[in-house]
Amino acid sequence: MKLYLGEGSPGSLKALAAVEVTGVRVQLQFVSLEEHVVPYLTQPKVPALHLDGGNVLFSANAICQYLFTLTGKDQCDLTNQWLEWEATELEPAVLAVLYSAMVQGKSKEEGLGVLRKLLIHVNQSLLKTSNPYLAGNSVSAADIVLWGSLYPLLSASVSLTEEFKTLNCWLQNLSSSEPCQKAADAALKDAHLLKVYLQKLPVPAPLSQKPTCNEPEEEASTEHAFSEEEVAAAFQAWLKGREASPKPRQFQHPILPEKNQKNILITSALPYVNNVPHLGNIIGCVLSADVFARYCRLRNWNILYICGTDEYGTATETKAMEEGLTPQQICDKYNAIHSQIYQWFNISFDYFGRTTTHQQTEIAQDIFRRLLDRNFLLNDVVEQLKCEACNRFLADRFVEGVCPLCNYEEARGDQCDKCGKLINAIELKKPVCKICKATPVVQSSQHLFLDLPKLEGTLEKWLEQSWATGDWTANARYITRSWIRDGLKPRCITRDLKWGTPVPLKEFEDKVFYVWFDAPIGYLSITACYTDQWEKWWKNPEQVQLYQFMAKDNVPFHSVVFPCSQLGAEDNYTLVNHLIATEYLNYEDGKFSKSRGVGVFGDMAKDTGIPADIWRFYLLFIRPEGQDSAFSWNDLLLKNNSELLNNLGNFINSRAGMFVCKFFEGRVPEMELNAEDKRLIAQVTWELQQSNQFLEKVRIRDALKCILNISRHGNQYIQVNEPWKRIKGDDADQKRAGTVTGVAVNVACLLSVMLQPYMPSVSATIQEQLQAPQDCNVLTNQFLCTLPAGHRIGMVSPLFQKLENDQIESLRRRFSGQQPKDEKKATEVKPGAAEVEKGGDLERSKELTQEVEKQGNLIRELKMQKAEKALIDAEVEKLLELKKQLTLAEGKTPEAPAQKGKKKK
Amino acid sequence: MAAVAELSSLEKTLGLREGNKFSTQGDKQDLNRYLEDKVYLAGNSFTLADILMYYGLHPIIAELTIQEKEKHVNVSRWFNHIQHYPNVRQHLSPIIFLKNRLYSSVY
Repeated sequence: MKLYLGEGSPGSLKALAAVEVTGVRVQLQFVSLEEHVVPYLTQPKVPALHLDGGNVLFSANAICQYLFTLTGKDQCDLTNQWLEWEATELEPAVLAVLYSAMVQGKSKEEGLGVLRKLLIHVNQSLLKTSNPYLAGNSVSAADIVLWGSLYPLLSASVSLTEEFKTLNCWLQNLSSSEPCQKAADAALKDAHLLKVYLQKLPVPAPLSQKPTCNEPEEEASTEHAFSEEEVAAAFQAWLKGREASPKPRQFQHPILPEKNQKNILITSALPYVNNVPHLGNIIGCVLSADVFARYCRLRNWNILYICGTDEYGTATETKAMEEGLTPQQICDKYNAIHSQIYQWFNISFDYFGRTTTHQQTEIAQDIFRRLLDRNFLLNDVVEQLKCEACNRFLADRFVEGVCPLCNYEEARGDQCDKCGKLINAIELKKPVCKICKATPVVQSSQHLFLDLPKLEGTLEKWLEQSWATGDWTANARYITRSWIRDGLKPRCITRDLKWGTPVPLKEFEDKVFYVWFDAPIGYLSITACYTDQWEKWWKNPEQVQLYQFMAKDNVPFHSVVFPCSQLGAEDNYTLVNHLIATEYLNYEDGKFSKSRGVGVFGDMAKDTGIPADIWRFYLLFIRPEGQDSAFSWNDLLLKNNSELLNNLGNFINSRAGMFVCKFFEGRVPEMELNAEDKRLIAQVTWELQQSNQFLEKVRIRDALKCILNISRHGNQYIQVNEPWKRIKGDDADQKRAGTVTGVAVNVACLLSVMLQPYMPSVSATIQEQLQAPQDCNVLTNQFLCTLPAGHRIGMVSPLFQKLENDQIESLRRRFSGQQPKDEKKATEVKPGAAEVEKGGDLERSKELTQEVEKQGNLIRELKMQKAEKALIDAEVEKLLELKKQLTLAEGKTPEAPAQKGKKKK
Repeated sequence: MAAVAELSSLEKTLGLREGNKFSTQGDKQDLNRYLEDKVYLAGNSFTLADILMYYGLHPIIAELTIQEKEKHVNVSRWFNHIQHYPNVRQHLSPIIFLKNRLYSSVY
């Protein structure tokens, strides 16, 4: 027998300890973690035990168990139970904690929640039996395996608290035993080895226990036991029916705060105008804020949701140069693109504005003057990078170089993408002008600074109060705290540019405000464009609750810099009460990249043929709350087909709605509720209340799970009661079928309301199909019978379309960005309604592929030689034509999926 | 070698669960390669391992397209064999495997 081991792997630790304890004679060999020792596995795996018969055991637990069997000791069921529990529960949880602590450098507390429960379980079991070991009086495979799992935690200096006293005793006892010590010395000399091992793990493995994975966390929600009181209360509420519920609020523009009302002002980070937003941008701010805004409206709260494009700054100027337009034209163009995208995604802004307005100038200059009067501005000379080739001062983002802090090679002038620290452009090593690649020189210029250190005291006092009363996401608090901890420095608020809000001082005539000072003021000015009574929202902290949505990179500007401007201006501004920051959304396994054409961008989502509501659903389902998450085409297909089609769609129309049509001539039947029905009502009510609680805390993803749970309960309820069978039975059976159908269709109606923030068009479709009264669009904590017996419903038709594998596969290819840059544009060109050869022509497509490649190279060469634009354009034209032919020859029609996914109506 | 069989059964069930964390494709390819020269999971007879694995895989196999089943030809062969053992299938639905290959050009 030969045992292959790897240093730093907890599995090897177990196996080695088992060898030592049992004394079985085994040949040991340490191999590197990359070595393939199990012939049929695609991934390297240690430990692995090669048996004499040629079999291979590659699970650490099985190896331990086998070694113990060889000593002749009988395996009791208890041992087996422990082994299985360790493999499925404990090990993944431990790995997740270790991974996040050692590889990602997060705090150890994060994963401990899950782990704590497990540790309690071990502790309790040891206490109960009062045996020194897990399965009796001697060391068993169970002890070794659990020890091997927990030992790395201790070596990573996660300490166990007093509550795990017994567990700790047991662990210490084993750790100090000779075999275990030997094993630890050989397999896990120091914590560093463990880190190396962890880094080699495929990322999703340790994370899938809890972090980034897109799976719902299975919580105890389904097991919630209902007391009789709860059931009775839910039933009483149900009986009251629609009349008992408030009517939906009618909003009239302009919406203004009202006394004694919940007044909620919602902003989402202003998208920068020169880019088309990608899915990550969309979920990060506008979509998340939209769900919350729609939810607030359903709760009859008084809300205003504003957003707009952030239009000033060098990036716009440069883009304008590129496209040969004026900055204003660029803004107009992209503002329209943004508006269209958000419209397509059904984002319910009360007002979508822009920052290039005279209101912006007035308000920004007013805040500036107030800061100046109160001595919160400093005057200083700044060394700035100037590109002499382009003859202009370079804005931070137009300089690239090596990060002075972490030596990352592609750090931008304002921030390093790798270490995330803000940097000063002139500190960059080897700076390069991004436009012409020349090396810029340092020149000095007068600038104004916001004196953050002077405002620090005020800021901290405010933060303390806002954190105590508001819902700031954990990352927002963390980022803010680390900013303040690093010490606040004065920040420059002016720039040598033309495209911006002018600085209203004589000696700064040719300067404008720096975007980060200017942009957040956009929230105020956009509101001012919406209503001249904007101050009722923005200078009214007593009555208004301000929710700001953004991705995490925007946090410091909203939690430190902008509040400092507001506080320093001393004008009773409304400051953020709830700062909701998302983590990043990755695309498949990497990042979205406009330049490489990787990922789905807002304007392309439409062309995929997948309806906006499906996009909304999926993005919200994987909303990066708490952890980064990833967009994956396969997962999209899976979630659409399993959650929407098989769960929601199946319940709402294939069952609830369809039964009413088919068996009861479209009228909601009479309902006589028995205990089971009441329990369902209690269950639904409970999920509804959970969902409300989550949404009040802006935990959008968790709330969505409650909705899906309701539908799941509904499906189970119908499955158990089988109304389609009972309808053919005797009188009592038929009545029962009626009751079940009636209750189900009311659950469907409730779902349509709860879904509204997530999938507004689907919600409207359901309500149209059910002919639900408009009044039902109010959410309370109660589940009411909104569709009473006798209510006539409309035509029922399928809500969702199945997504097919090949359709998703072709989309994945289309957005994978693997084609070279020059050809990228070509793939976006859709063939006209031209003749499509069915089946495709292999020969021809091969030829064409070669030609396309040749042409691509030609264009690249021309560009290198700086050939005339007209010439290049002509060649690009040819390339496009070739690509088009190629697509046809391959028999693909990029438009095909579009027709498939189209909605029924 | 009953012990090995038992152990292997455990090994496999564990392996399966662990594999679920990775892409299902990679996992099944592993199993597919393992089964290349085997009729049963452990040894040369029908064991508990086969039954457990059958139950573990059923929901996954049920979702596969014909093409995917063909891609995992050894798993399909084994699965089809096991599901026809008397009393193995119980309440689970029988899964259809085509006898003739449709996508042979892929290989």
